[in-house]
Amino acid sequence: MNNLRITNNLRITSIAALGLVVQAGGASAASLPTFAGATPALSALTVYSWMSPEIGAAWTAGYKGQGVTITFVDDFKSANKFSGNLGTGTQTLRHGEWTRLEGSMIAPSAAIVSQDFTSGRSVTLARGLNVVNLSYAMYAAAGYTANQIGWSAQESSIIKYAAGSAVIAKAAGNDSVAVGAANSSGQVDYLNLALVGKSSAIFVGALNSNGTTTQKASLAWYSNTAGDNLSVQKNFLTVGVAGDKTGLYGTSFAAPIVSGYAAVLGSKFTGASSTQITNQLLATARQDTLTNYSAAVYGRGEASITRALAPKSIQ
Amino acid sequence: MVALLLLAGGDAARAYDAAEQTFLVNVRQGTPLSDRVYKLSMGSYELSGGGAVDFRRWYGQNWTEMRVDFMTQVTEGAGILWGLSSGEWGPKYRIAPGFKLGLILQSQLTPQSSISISFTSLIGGRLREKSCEADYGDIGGVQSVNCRLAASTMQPSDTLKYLVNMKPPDRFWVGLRYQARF
Repeated sequence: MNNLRITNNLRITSIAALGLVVQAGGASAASLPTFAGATPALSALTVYSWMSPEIGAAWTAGYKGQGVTITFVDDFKSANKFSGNLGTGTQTLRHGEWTRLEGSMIAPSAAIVSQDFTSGRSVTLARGLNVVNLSYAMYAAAGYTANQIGWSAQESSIIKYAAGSAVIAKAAGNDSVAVGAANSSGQVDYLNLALVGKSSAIFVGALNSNGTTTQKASLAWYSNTAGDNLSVQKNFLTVGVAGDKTGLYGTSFAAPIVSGYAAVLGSKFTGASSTQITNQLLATARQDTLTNYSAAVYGRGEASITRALAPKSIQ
Repeated sequence: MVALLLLAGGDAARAYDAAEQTFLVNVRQGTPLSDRVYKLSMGSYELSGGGAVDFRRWYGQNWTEMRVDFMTQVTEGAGILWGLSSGEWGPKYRIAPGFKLGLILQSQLTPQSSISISFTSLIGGRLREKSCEADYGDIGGVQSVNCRLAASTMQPSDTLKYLVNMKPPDRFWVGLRYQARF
């Protein structure tokens, strides 16, 4: 946590990466699972056990995110590191290094850009489709609107891009509350609030597993929900975060999966806009893989890359 | 037909002889291309709305390609091999009918043994896969695609490169046969 943002009217009291290092019942750094037989080289395109099997099907032929740029705005400078294993062996990395690694494994051909979240610099977009991954929150005391925040150039640019210039995958948060609501400490993630209603922003919640119709997934206990706000529900997706396999928990590790999906989708539909990519991911989400689906909990449902890639009809 | 092929310009009596010297040597249902189509039919994917697409609807076979081969003996040691293949078709593919033509030469080495060499060529019989029209909605519109790869990560237009368009792998045949009786 860092005290960062001085604003005209309101002080952002902390910027927080949304990864939970070790959770009760989960794997500890010392007991991380091993991935026997998995090939470390990313080029081998192994479908690791934490990934949805759908991504393997999506890789089967050709395109894996090329022509798309994913920018990870995250912690790339702090001394905080933690251990995990995404199938390439146990590593001890910074939060941003983990999210970047995860996203690049989903979309191995995407161009990857890293920007430390303390930089305050405007995020620069590349040519072609851009995806911005935000696995962090910006907390301040509840009771204000997002417009009252004096955003830095970094967040100002991101909020502007969320209106259709880039796909913004935003970790929903780990406070077990609705997006936009105050957590138990009376703090609100104002970056979430600022992105509500933006056409190319996706809030990403975490499931406890990758759901199937026979083994349905539930929302992870820590994950924020979509809540009753229809604007949030409309742009809220969930994906499995298999912390029991990786040692990595939190919606921080849900957002990179959606970022990767957006890149894979963008490499197929090269002429599609950020809003069209966003809408396709949202419109093709599944509800039949979720336990007791409701929009207030799961938003649009569980992201499905195979359905997002598929046509509506074919003759 | 046989007479026309072998004895063009000949008289009716010679044509009759050619027919007399024509033998059925092989009848087969199922060809390498037909097998290939069968493999194409073994797949499926989901549409974006969840509906299932089973490839059998495009590559399912009501009729399996059939070949009939004949040999018309021209001399004691030579014959013409010829035959017809029926072709095969489905909603998204077509195997064209084909005509096989070739020669067989046989030599009696001893009273108990012989050796023969034969070669044939199949004309036609090409397998051509047809494209589909896929509607991707707002994100991609309506595009011509390879039916089987419409839901893959490939760009829709690139899937057309993978339409099957192939000649029969057994279109040329050379055979050497030694026979001994004991």
